[in-house]
Amino acid sequence: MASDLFQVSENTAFAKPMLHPEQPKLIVLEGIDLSGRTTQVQLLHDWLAAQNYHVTTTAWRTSPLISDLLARARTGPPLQPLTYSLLFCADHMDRTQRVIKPALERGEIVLADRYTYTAFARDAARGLDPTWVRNLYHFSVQPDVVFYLHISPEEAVKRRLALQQQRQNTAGVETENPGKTAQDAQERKQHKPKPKEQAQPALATTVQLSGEALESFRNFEKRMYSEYQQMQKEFGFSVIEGDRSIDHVQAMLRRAITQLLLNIG
Amino acid sequence: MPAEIHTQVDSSSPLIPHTYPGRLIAAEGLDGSGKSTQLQLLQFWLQAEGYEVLITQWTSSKLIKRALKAGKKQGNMDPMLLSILQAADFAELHERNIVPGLQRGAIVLADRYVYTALARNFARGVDRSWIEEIYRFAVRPDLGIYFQISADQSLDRILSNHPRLKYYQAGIDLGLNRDPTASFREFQQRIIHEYETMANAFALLRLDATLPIKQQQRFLRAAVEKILPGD
Repeated sequence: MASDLFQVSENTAFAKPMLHPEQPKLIVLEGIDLSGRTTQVQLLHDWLAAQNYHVTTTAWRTSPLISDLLARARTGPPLQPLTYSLLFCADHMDRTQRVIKPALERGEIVLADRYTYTAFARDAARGLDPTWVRNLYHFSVQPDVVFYLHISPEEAVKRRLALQQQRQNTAGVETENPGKTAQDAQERKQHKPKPKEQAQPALATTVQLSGEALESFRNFEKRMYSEYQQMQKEFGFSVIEGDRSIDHVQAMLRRAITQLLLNIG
Repeated sequence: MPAEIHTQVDSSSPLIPHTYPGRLIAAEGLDGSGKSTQLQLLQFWLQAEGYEVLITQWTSSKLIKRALKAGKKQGNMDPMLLSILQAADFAELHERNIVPGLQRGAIVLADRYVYTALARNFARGVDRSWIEEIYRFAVRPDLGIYFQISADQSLDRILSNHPRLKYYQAGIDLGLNRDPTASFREFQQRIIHEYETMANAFALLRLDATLPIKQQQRFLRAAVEKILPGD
């Protein structure tokens, strides 16, 4: 035993992470749209799994019970910001109970692609009372670390347009269900009175953004950005510059996570 | 001194008074306590007096019904999750119908309001301060009425209309009792206890819902008259 331990400690941190095998950790990645969270979570997952860690990933809006409900909500008339807020909370709650807590109890590492801070930022950007929203999520598990992938709103817009261009080039034809998109846009117009509602970006889709829609995307990212900047201190985020290369960002994350798993720093 | 007591009641209420031109009247009580009948009678009367009247009902929307059904099927609907889904439904009703109605100057008659959710959530053991804080988005009614009947009376009235008790209505999700009727009694008993507590804390007007319909209506009109705008 003792010799094993000794050997391990002689190695580099990357070689034998099994030094602390049964150590549940909740690791959160946050950031505005297109900050690269999902890519980085995937890479971290593979890296940790390759070292025999048991890893569970969880992402926003993926609870079987609620994601379906949220998808259906999108086809109907837009719901009130308050309603969306509560439904997203239901999604988070369901995942907390069915995914996050059980995995932690099994001693696993949980990687969360977005967490409560996403709700704090979005709901505040849509005009809801921040204190109210924080109370809503008080059942949540406290993360061991929150990495904030920091990119500017302008960078998000740049990436959004690049993505659009790229899809256009590869697909040749825009197969993105244009009828639905037009319908969405129309619905949004019909419900104009509330300015909060206009600012819903078409997340993770390749819907063409131009003119007014692009402006609305930019404004929403700006608001999200300013919320994240404010939360940075409140919750002690670990800031990682997200405008560097994927590999560089990944290396920074791995270094910080290694320290966390070895209980240093 | 009475003023002081009144302030105390106000500060303990989780709801904030509104400043809209309309009036909000909330009817609370067990299923079968006669709320709907009385609200309808109030509506006829108020409309004849020239008011715009809006009756709202708190029923599960199509949106959450599927989730509730799934929870029922799996038999593991978590009380907190249930409470959040119901709050989402209520938020939509509140923002889309109730507040706009009050803004227009309508008399809004709410067939069940926040107190229903609180009573049921408390009865399911959901954290009190958490759920109370969530419902703070709702405006405080100008008049809240608690229709008092016993669990047995509620049961008799429900069963005379429907052959069967509903899953969540009978609190079967809580696993209190395998027999739906017994479960219903136990669950409703808890709800009554919560209503009673809230009737005191939030100054709900108690109405003996076993009295003849006409007599109840007379009592209600007298109470409503006091809070009508412009008189």
